Amino acid sequence: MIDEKGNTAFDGAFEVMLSAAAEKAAEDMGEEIQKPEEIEFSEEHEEKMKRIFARENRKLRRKRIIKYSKRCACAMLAFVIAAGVGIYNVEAWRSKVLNFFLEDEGVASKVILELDESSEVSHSNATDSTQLSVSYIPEGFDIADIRDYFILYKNVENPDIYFDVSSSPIDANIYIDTENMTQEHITINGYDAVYLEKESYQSVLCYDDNWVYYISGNIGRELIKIAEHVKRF
Amino acid sequence: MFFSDIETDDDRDMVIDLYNKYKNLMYKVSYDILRDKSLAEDAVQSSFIKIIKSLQKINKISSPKIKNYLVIISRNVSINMLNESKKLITVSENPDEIHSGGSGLDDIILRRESVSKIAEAIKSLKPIYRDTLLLKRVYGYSDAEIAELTGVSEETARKRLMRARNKIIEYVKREEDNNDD
Repeated sequence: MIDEKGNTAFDGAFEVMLSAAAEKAAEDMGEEIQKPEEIEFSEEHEEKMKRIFARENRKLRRKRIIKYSKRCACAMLAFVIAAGVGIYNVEAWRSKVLNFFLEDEGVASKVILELDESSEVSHSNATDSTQLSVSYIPEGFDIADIRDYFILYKNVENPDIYFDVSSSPIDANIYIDTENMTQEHITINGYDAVYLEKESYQSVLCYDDNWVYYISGNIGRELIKIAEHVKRF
Repeated sequence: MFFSDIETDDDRDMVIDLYNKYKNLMYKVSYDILRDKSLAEDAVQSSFIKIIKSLQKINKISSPKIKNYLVIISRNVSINMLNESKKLITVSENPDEIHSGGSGLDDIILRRESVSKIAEAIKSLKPIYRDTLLLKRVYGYSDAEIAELTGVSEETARKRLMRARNKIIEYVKREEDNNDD
């Protein structure tokens, strides 16, 4: 029997055997490799490897902050909620932050929020029905991407100018980029917060009783004003 | 937005574990090609960046195959670095030697033990053919990914795959002829 490419059933059988043999050869060759002698790597090399791993680690941590949902929220719905049409009673899972600080871990910092253990925290339900809203948007910016936990805004005339807003449950493990950034302690809506800055990138980390918000971009201290108008309902 | 090739803590731990376990082996492979300590270290770094990018391909592979995979990555990264430093031009494959699929198989008899024979044939191939074949068949690389890793065009990668296949058929035939004699 010959198929449209001119291959016979025999060719097909050979292909199957070739794949099985390749698996066997790879395994045999791996087993045949002798353990080499210990190498003394240079400090420079080990430092570079640490940086490679740290960079990947940082990406992983950033990804956690954002906690991308696969479901995209509707922009219109976000604005309706921003206008005050709440659909969830936050009192049911209110928590209380007793202490807030950043724990330096090199290129990133872990956000430490010590919670009142007597508070009831049940975000698993809340995350399905609340929406992230931003009720102050600087002039000239428009939504470029919107998800359940994240909204990206870009300047209409220059898309390189941007800011984004993300949120995460207050009891989640959160890390933020603090590499080479100066930190300024501020207050947002009566809660402790921090403004971080380096030449081309700034961010604000703030929270309320239930959520942590991370606002970042390249528009300077305007991020603080935005942070005052970020909320999940 | 930031996306990572490392998806979980387990992935991250696996990469660090791979590094600690096999850095000496990868260095040795690279040093044998580059003959320079500093360049060999650079090759280990570049290899790990490639490994991280392809993590999803290898996280279910058994230990001996991973070891072989790391050797393939290290060897090809190092060869590319050597070629780059010497500005070598890769010799194009001779099209006359490349046959399309379905050729020559009628003369060999496939038996259960043929898998072992074919495996031996694969092991006897020159590294450029063997690596290409294993990347494709075992580690799930596309032609484009093989081309990128081995520093050749996709067309050359495909020709190498075909040539590897033909050489394996020749090897098996030769073995059978020897047995008949």
